[in-house]
Formats: sequence, structure tokens, C-alpha cells
Amino acid sequence: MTGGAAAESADPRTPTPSREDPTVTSPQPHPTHHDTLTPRQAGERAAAVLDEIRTAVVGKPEPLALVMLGILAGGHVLIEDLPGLGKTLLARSFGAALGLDFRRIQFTPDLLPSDVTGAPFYDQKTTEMVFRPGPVFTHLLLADEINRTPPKTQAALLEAMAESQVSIDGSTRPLPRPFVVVATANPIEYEGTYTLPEAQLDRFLLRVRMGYLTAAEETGMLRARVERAAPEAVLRTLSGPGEVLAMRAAVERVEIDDDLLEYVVALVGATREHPHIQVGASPRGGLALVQLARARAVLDLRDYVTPEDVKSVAVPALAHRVTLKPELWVRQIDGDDVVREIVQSVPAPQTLPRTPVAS
Amino acid sequence: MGRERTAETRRPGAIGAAQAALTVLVAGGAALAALLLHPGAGLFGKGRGPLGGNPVLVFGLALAALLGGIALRSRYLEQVRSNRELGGTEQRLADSVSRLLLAAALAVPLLVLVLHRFGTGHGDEQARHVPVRLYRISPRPLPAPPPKHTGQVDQATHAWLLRVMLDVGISLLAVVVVLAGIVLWRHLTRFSDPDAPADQGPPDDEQSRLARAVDSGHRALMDGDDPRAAVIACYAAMEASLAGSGVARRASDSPQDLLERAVAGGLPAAPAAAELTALFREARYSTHPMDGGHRDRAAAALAEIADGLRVRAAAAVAAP
Repeated sequence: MTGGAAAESADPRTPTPSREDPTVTSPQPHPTHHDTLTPRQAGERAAAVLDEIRTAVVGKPEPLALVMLGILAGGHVLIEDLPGLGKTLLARSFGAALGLDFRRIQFTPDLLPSDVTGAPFYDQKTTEMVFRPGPVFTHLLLADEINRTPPKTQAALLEAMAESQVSIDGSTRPLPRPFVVVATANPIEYEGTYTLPEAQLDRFLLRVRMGYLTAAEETGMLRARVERAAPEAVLRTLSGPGEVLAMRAAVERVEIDDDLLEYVVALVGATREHPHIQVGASPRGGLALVQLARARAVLDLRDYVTPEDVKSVAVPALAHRVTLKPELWVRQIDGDDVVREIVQSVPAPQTLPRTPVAS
Repeated sequence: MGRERTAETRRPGAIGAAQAALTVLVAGGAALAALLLHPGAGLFGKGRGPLGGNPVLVFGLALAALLGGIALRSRYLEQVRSNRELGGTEQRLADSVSRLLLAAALAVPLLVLVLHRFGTGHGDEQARHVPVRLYRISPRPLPAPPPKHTGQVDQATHAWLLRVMLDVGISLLAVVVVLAGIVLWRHLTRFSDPDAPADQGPPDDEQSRLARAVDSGHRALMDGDDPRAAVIACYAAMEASLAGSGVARRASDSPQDLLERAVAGGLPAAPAAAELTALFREARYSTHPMDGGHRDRAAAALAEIADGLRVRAAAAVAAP
């Protein structure tokens, strides 16, 4: 989590849109002041963006919604699944539909940290060292197959994610706002990968699994490709950096009851006491759960959080933050299963409030 | 995890006493059976215990074990059949127990008769006068008897005292076993007594619970000035009526979870329940101002749900 989206509402830096992105149509003008978006308005705009993305990414409603929640909640998203399931397409489609400057880094074993953050070079004309920004200076960065690069380069990106800035040669350079990293990763048991450390996984607000399409959805995807007569779907740009920041500000206006905060604490606490878990979720997990639940409320056009919002995002928000005991590898139990079990066992808030709320 | 316990189907006190009686019965019965077996021979060696001197007693005990085992099995099967629903695992377990009881009822008396050494009274008299053999552990030959001396009388007295204490202990054990069997029999009889009040409430009881729940909701509507509290009370009344109809809220359930389970269970007024759930969410988890309109909608939804459940309960009563 990059640390709150409340203050991200003024004067975002807007880099020049990438020329290499084939899916972006002509950028549409966007209003410059979006500070007054209500949660309902923000939810309606987010829903419109999701509808547009669904024309390119067929049959993945829940992963798409979860990525949108991550963007609304002001965090970074890790998409973990096998190759060929549409992870890159999904990230690129969000960049196009949201009107964000989009860059992509294909992580390889020989990638250096300076390839990510940028590096100073010597300008012969001015005889000075000039900083050349790396691909991290963008709004939406697709870190493709992040676990194919060694930890040193991973750390360079993850530090930028945590701080929203890059320090090179003694000078600190802020990253554009909004800054969203959508990282894809192959499952760790896949060959030729470097496991992301738990401390760095914690920096991702949520983890999304794509999963295979059903037979009917896969047929629909193939039909859409044939009818499109082009490799890539062309998406309309429906939003922009300023509006994304306004939507994030709207999330901050969503209220959450004290009983629900205690419910979140109980869920996070249960991960620390579960017999299958060696290391439970950190307090950052609780923060992520609250922000994602608020974003879910926005997506449902509400300005208050319900227990359903918390339960629906508990697995994506917490499963990648827990470390299971080693013996569970043999039993094919993963973090998703354990957190799902916790959600089904921790008592939800009672029907009657402990303290009466006046109308 | 997350399993519901239906409190009305269990009586902790009765179950505890029955379990204790069953434990005493099994342990005491095993001890008595062990006393009837020969202590020092191999598994299939024939022998005779301290009570084995009377063949009539042995036959009687074998017959009692056979009849008691059959009676216990029939009582068990009757109790299992009287249970409303058994899951797959429970059914398999019940079948296994039934087969085991039948096998035990046949095998125990058969083994008692086959392994018991029926003989003439001469050998018995000889064994009775050599009490040392009762405590022999290994089949090794005994050392040669010591020469007679003046302490022989004391040794005979000591053996006689041991014999008396052993008989008294066995008698007490038999009494305890019989008492435990009586307690267990009474428990089983009471548990399946058709005249006893049923644990699971009949449809009439369900209707009365439903009526109480709806009444409480209506009282909250009439008494309170706070529309928010009234909406929450209506939802609580719906929860209570759903619980009365068999769909109780689990501790980890959100309102949507409960609604989905109720609809899956054939809730008659699903749209009204969905509306009341949405009203409850807003009243419970937001600070939106609530007014009489919210309260009226909640009351109408509750009434519709109550009517639907009442009709269903009446249909259940009318059905054979």
C-alpha cells in the first residue's frame, strides 16, 4: 500500500501518453476538478470503465473488479497465475480505459535496478550528468513476470511502490500520481522464478488470481476475437489521472462502522492464531482490508461499508500476507484456503448494535 | 468449524449419566468376563476362573450375554431409526455399530462356552485347595513344597481370607454392573419414549415461535420513535422467524449469507426478504437519516415474510 489516497487530489503530474500502446484511442478531454465526486458518482464511473474493459477481457468479472478495487483503494495489484491467462491484457486494458500513462517492464533474470528506476548519463553537449527516467516514471506500470528477476531488481521496484518516489544519486524524484503497479507473477513452483519475499508481498494491496475460463467463456473469447478481426480490442479512454485521483478521494468519504473495524481486526488477528499459519497478517493487512472494503462499497454505489464488503475482499487482501507452515505444502493447502476458512469461522458483527444509533 | 449445534436435540445431563453408566457397564462387564477366563493359559487355552466351578452359572451368564446383547442391539436400532436424519458418515457409523453389537452378542457367549473347561468336581476340589495356582503367572513348574512346619496353619488362614475378599469384591462388581445396566436401560427407554415431549418442535411450535418473532417486530414498530431501531428490530424479527423455520443465522454469516441460505431453502417471500435486508444494512451500518418511510417499508416486508412462512408452516401441518 502506498499510504493513503486521501491527499492525492491536487495537481497530478501527467506524463505524455505512451506512443507504444496500441489500445489507446485518442485521449478525451477530462475535467480538471474532480474533487467533488461522491462515492456514487465514483462508483458509476468505475463501473463504466469496467464495462469498457470487459469488451477486451472476456469472462473475468471478479478479477477485473478486484483490480479496479486496488486502483480505487490506492494500492498496487499482484496478479498471480499461469502464463497465457490474460494477465498482461488485463493490465494494459486498465491503462487504456482509465487514460493513464502506461509502461511495461518485462522482468528478466538480467534486468538491472537502473533499468527500472532510470540512471544518470553524461551529456557531452552540456558536460553534465543528466538523469534519464526509467519506465517506473509513469501512472500505470505493468511489471510483467516480476518473479523472473533477481531480488535486487525486485527491491528497486518495490521501494518505489512503497515510497512513491525514487532516490538516485542523492536526489529524490517523486513518481507521478496516481502511481499504480500491476505486477504479474507466475506461481512460485513454476521453473525459473525468484520467490517474492513475504515483506515485499506485503506491499501489494491485494493479490488476484485469474483462473481458467469456463468452456462457454472461452468459446465467447474466441468468437469475440474472430468478430474483431484484429489481435487487440480497441478501448475507449473513459477517464484520466485527475479523475482516478478523484475516485480515490471518494473512497475516503465512505464510512465504516466501529463494529466492522473490530470485525476486520478479528479477521487479521485470526490469521495470527490459526494453527496452519506460521506468520499471520501484519497491521498493514488490516489497513488493506478496510480500504478495499470501502472501495467495494463505492463499486456497489454505496457510501457505507457492510460485512459483505469485508468478507468479499478478505481473501485477496490477506492470503498473500500469511506464511503457512511448511508441512502444508504437501497437503496442497494454500493461503487462500486458510483465509477462506477463517472468514467462515470468525463471527461477523451481530444484528443488534451494541450502542444504539440515533436517526 | 462453523457447524451448528441444535440444542433442542441433546440433553447434556441425561447423556452424561448414560455415558457414565455405559462406561461402568463395559468396564465392569469386561472385568467379570476376565475373571471367568483362565489367567495363565494361551489365547485358546481352556480354563476356568474363580466363578467357573458351577456349570449352571457359566451357562446362565452365556445366555444372559446373548440375550442382553441382542436386546441392546434392537434398542440401539430402534433409537437410530427414531432419529430424523443421519448424514452419510453417521449412517455408516450406525451400521458398523449395529453389526459390531450383533457380532459381540454371538461371539462373547460362544467364547465363554468354548473356552471354559467343564470338568469333574475332583479337579475343582483340588484347585480349590491349592490357592497358589490362582496367582501363578508363568507355566513353569512350581518349586517343591517346603517341608511341613508350624506356619502351615497360618498360610491356610491367609489363603481363606484372600478367597473371601475376592468373592466379596466380585459380588460388589457384579452389583455395580447390574446397576449400571439398569441406568442405561432406563435412559434408552426414556430417550425413545413416544409419549415423551419431542425434542424437535412440531409445526405448531414453529408457528408460535414465528408469531412471537413477528409480534416482537411489530411491538418495536409500534413502541419506538426511532425508525432506525424499528428497521433493525424488523430484521431481527425476520432472523428469528427464519431460525424458527430452520434457517438459523451462523455466527460468521453476513446478512447476505443468511438471505442466500434462506432463499436456497425455499423462502416464500424472497423479494421482501431482500428488501428488508437492504434496509437493515443501511440502518445498521450507515449514518443515513432514516424516516417513517423506511419503517413502513420494513414493516410491509416483515409482514409479507411472516405471511409466507405462516402459509408454509400451515401446509406442513396439513401434509401427511
